[in-house]
Amino acid sequence: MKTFNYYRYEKKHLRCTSYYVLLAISLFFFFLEAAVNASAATRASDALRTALESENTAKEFTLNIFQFELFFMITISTLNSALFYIREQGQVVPVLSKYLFAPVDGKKIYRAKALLLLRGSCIFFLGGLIIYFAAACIILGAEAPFQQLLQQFGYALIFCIVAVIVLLLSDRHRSRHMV
Amino acid sequence: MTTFSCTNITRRYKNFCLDNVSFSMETGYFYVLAGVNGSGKTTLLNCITGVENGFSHSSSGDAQIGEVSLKMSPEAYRRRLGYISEKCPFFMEESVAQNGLTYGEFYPDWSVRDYSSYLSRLGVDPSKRIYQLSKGEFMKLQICFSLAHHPDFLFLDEPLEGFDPVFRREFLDLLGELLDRDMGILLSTHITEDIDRLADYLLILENGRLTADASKEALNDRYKELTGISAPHIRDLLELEHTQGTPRS
Repeated sequence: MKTFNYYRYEKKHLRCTSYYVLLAISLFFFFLEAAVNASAATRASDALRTALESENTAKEFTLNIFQFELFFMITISTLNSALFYIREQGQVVPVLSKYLFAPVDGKKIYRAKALLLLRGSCIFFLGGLIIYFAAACIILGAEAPFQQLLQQFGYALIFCIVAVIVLLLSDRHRSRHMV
Repeated sequence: MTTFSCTNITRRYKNFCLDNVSFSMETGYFYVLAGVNGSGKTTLLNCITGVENGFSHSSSGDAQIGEVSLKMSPEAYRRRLGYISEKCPFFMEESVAQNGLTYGEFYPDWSVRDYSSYLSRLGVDPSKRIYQLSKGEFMKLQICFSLAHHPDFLFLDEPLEGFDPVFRREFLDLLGELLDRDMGILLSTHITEDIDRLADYLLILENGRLTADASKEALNDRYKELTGISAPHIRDLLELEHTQGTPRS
């Protein structure tokens, strides 16, 4: 018999408009911020070049890690609660408890939900990364501080991974206690 | 014909132990799981349906439908049975129809047409949300859902309690039809009056132990031997087993 595809099932039943709205807002905000920062860095650098009559540049283009993580946490928490919890009669209930009577492998369904959370996190992170690098490339060109930007995104990635692990562990813990 | 069997089902709690319960069933027959409140009927049903948390992996014993084992392939095993219990966790804020579609995906044989025809036959409004259903309607919904995925065995945990006398009769007629369609039925109850005419076999649980597992006729013969008269109702057989506390026949 054909094996049941939990990932496809979960993806089909996932209704999380708020995640997509928050993702769009976050990425748009990153785009604006990156564009403003890059333009400001270009102007500052040009002014410095004119004043000193030299070829030196001082392009300051950084990622605000705190802001990035704040947006990440808000957006991913929304996706996490859409995946793992359901509000019924004013109470928040783990969705996994709803599958208690169904012929479902709890571990497989948890894994499918975890994969969807990881997918959502990757979309957010890669979206932010692409926007920052694209802004840097387009506005600052070859003088963009790519190495510094990569380093900052590296720090942000570590935080994102830790945050997703903590969310998944807490979901597992809460589901186990309720089921 | 398909066979269900369970062997050495054991589940220990702080103040209760379901002790080495084994029995078997065949499709096309009606089995009554009787016992006083607290005798372990629901625990046993939860164990053999795979609902009991951790049963399929950590507790002892196993159950099989045909060649499919609960321990070895819990998903395939559970697809072949229907379990009706008041604790069944449907999505409360979604409609009856939507719940059917959501859960139906887990069953390869689930038919939306059958579901909708059973709903209309039992008078359940498909657009109603689950929290709006009465206890009786909730049980009816579960019956419709279970029948729509065509299980080999139907396990019912105290289903008669939520029904009015009129529907109780209709419901028992429906169970009779299912027996004719070669479905095996195990119904747990402590209200045995209504099922006298349907019951083929009787399983009696006493404090976590299976004290009787025999056909109604065999138990009736034993009753006759001890009292000199035939048992008019299942209730009388149950009372005799309860007072005697006899070992399994």
